[in-house]
Amino acid sequence: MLDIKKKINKYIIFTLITLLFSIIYELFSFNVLSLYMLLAFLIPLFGLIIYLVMYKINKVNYNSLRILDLSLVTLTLGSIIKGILDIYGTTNYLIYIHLILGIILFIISIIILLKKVNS
Amino acid sequence: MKIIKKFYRIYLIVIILFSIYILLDTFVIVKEYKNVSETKTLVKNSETGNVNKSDYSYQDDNIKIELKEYQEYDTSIYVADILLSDSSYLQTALANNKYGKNVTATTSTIASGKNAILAINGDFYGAQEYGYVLKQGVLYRSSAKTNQEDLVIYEDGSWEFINESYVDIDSLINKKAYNILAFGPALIKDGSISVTTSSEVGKSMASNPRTAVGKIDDNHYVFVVSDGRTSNSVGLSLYQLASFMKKIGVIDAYNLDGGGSSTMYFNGKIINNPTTTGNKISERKVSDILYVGY
Repeated sequence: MLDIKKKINKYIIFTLITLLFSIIYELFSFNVLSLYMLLAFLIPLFGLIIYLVMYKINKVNYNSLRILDLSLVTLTLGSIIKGILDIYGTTNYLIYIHLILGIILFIISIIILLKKVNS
Repeated sequence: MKIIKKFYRIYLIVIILFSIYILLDTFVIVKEYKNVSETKTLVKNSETGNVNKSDYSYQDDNIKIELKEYQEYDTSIYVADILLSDSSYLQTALANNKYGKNVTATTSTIASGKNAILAINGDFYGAQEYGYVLKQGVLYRSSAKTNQEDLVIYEDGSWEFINESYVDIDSLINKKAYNILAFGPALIKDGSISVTTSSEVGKSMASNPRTAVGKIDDNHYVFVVSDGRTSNSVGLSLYQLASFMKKIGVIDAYNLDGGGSSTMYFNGKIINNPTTTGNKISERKVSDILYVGY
């Protein structure tokens, strides 16, 4: 069973670590700014909000949330890597795999959630 | 439920490993695509004649170089004034004589390997996946990069600024393009500054070490490198760099890779203070150089 309270704590830590990493990385990047790096923390923050809402309304679909976790981890990692590449001034087409996987997983989690609601 | 839990764990491990692979692929894993073997040289006369050189100057029968250091905008700026008997002495070279990804060497290593008299870092083609790479008449990459402004140097020594979105590589080769520098932007075009005070390279902000090449007249060039990111030398914005170059008489100027890459090499020595990692003075490895030599 998924412990929502524990998950909320994990998401708070995940958000803070992402924010801290972005701030420290930007501090040492000679004013080269990347929005992907600066705003990466918004992705786990979005997950935190979802979990808080689930906790509040007390309606949880565990499978949907697990897939959502994977989606948000994928997108956060992708955003941070894109930020690192931006700051260095380079590109790598492989980064799109994070975006594609993240979106697919997000859609799957929504579909599972909706199926559960409708059934 | 169990399957999803298992998938959850495996997926997390895989995505973390894949993320590490992307970083290694971008910054570490060396992929050599082509050796520099069929390069044609345009240099017809490689006899130097009498050579006079000092820490700040070099002169032979074909090449005359004078180094000057300026203090402007709280920044140390190094200018190499170059007079050539023929434009063919202005050349490019690739790190380790190979075209590839993460194939790098310091500017001084590449320059000494070519017996260059003077050299600066080039456009660091290896940091980009797209954009024309044409060096010493050999085409290495023909895929255009959207809105990339290039400096094209033709076999006759003439210069042209082009945008890769609108000019295909075949037409440039047909016009006898010999070297393409793909970083930018152009700083001065026909004597007019072509950047604004808000112009910048990619995501970078003002005040950085810079490298630029300029043309004053036929066979009369300048290499300009500025220090930056230190308390002694803050660095230049693109507009400041363009203004400075215009002041010293440059008619056409083009910005090259800057930041930690900015390096000027002359007579076997590094002239500026490259800042690869923060305030530490050390030379960064780059993909390519622009140099003067035989």
